[in-house]
Amino acid sequence: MTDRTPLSEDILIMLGAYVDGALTEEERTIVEDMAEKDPRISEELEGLLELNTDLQDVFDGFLAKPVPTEIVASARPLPAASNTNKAPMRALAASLLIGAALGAGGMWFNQQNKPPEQIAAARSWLGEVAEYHQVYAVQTRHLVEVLASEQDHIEKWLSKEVGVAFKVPDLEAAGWSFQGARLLVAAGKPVAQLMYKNADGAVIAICGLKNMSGTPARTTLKQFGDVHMATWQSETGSFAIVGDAPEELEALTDLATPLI
Amino acid sequence: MLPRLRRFAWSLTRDWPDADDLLQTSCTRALSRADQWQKGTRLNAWMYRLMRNIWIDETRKRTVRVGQGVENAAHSDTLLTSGDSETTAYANQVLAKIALLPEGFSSVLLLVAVEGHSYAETAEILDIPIGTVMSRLSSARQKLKAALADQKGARK
Repeated sequence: MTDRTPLSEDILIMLGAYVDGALTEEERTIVEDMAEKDPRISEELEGLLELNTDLQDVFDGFLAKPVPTEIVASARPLPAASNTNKAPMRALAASLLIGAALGAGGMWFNQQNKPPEQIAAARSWLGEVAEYHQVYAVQTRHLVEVLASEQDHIEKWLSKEVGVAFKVPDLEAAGWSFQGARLLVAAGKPVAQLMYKNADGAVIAICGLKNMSGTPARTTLKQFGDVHMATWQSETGSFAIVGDAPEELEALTDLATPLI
Repeated sequence: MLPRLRRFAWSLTRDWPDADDLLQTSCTRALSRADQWQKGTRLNAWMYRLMRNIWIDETRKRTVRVGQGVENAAHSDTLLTSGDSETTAYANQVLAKIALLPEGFSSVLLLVAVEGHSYAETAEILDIPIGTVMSRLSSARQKLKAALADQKGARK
């Protein structure tokens, strides 16, 4: 006759740890052997897995709930005295706001008829690049898709995908070392993104896509929230250097333009 | 990140107005202490700890004010509007049962079963011993399984 007495608390905790991936290989084997022999154990494991699925469905449903605008406002950087270092606050605010401005589940997609003005005005490729920058610049461990060690491959790959002959400018002289690259899609077009880091861990990106107009344009400084850009166009490509410090971007543009 | 922080706030408060107040206070406090957060470190764990501490202070204040702690949410806001009505109704049942768990149980469930934090990380975020994480988790699961058994039967 099958034993139907309730499982002890210790066994239930161990089965929970099995489901949570908190057991060693040896302990997992013990649990699996027990489950083969005792239907109470296998039923319990099945119930725990089913509950996990329910919990994930319910809690993931929370993420689609629009975040009230007053909370989004509370996560924006505070005005600070000019002699204080605003960089940590900006970085923190950018991280907090990632979910609010980007991606399904953020308020952006949930307020279909009323996008915030600042975001609505930034629907150009540059606006999208600014949002990407806020996301990627804080991804210290996953900054790039292809590492700088594969520079030849990066140049061939991105030139082909973006449709503009592309070289990786060497900005070491200005203290920025090349980390690698990503391919983005902004305003529906492929955009090459080259990432650089300095000794302080700050990140800048050079972004480029095909210039559809075919006319060159001189350097212009732009600002999207806390993200600054210097933009320019060659006959074939439209480019932007993206970062936090506007005073540095223009000089970097002068350095990068002839090299790209 | 805000939707995730808001979800964690709900797991602490189990009430949307309280969760929103907690999140707003936490964002403001986090920005004023931004220099304590090192860029590149795990921001969500830092924010979770900050939120948890603010919530503990708040529950203490309420205990002093009205002579009792925060009650379990007697009603739970319905939340999920996508999907077919049967799925939505079931999800809302699950949510209501989570809201009725004892204080401190739903955050453990969220952190471990949904977000995949280790027991040690969860213990650090919630400032409780690992043994408490494990026993709360197991107890929360048993209570939920029992509470949902009827609904599951009705769905099958």
